[in-house]
Amino acid sequence: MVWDLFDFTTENCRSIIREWVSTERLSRRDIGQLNQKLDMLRIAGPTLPPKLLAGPIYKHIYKLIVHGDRMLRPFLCKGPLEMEQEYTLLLGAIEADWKLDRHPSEAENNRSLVIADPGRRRPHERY
Amino acid sequence: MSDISDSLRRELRDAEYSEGYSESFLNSYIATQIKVIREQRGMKQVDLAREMGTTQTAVSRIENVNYSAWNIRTLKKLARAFRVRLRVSFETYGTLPDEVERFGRDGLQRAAREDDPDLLERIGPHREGLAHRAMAAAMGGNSGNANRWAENVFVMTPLRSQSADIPQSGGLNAT
Repeated sequence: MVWDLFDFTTENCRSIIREWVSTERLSRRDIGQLNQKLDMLRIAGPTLPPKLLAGPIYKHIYKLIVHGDRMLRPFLCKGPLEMEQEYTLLLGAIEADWKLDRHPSEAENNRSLVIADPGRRRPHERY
Repeated sequence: MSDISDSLRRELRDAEYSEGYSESFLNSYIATQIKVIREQRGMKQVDLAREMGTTQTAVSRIENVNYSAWNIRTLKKLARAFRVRLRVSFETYGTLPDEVERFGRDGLQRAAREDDPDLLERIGPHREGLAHRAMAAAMGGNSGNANRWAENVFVMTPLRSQSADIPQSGGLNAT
């Protein structure tokens, strides 16, 4: 079974993860590693690849672990509409010195927005 | 899933991207296959650790898609514990999209030596040795011809029984 991936969108309908990739100026190498982990999540699901996701680190929020040149930790949640067949990427985050640059409560808030308005997400785009 | 495959084929033309993607896939593949084969054997991490002469913590560390400090020695230990062979091979980037698409539990499982269907269906080493010696004797001690005979027999016609396929002296048209 292939899992569906969605990106939370900003108020002007842009993928929040695409914007994050752009504003953080991620290297092509890091984007390759990020896409690999996301492909694995889609193809194999959350449990087959060991320690692909960490969490929940806060309420419904998991973080994807990407050990690249920078420690990418995008936040995501299962569902939240179809709990057994989709994940939604909610917020980009980076870890440095064991600290995340964003608080997962922001991602939880984005999750609530998606539940209230499913239009606040779009099918995941590759970066 | 062909959308992943098609996109990936284009993306892998970028040198930096392809290195990042493929190295991450390698780590994910090894970690997942270790976990899958361990579960296939009905082993817990502590059982595998015992077989390898290491600790459960060490097994837990390598069963992690983000672990990247692999060395051949550890992989060989794992292969012995799982009773499979280790293959290390350099590959082109173009083969990666298909590997990504096929990634799944079924494709990662491996039979142990004693359950390997490819070994069970073939002539066993004991019978092979007997047949080879019998053929060499039939050819007047010429083991070179006997080797060629053996190759032809294995490729073209599996042995039905030890004696039935050993031709009498002068009865073989070896090529």
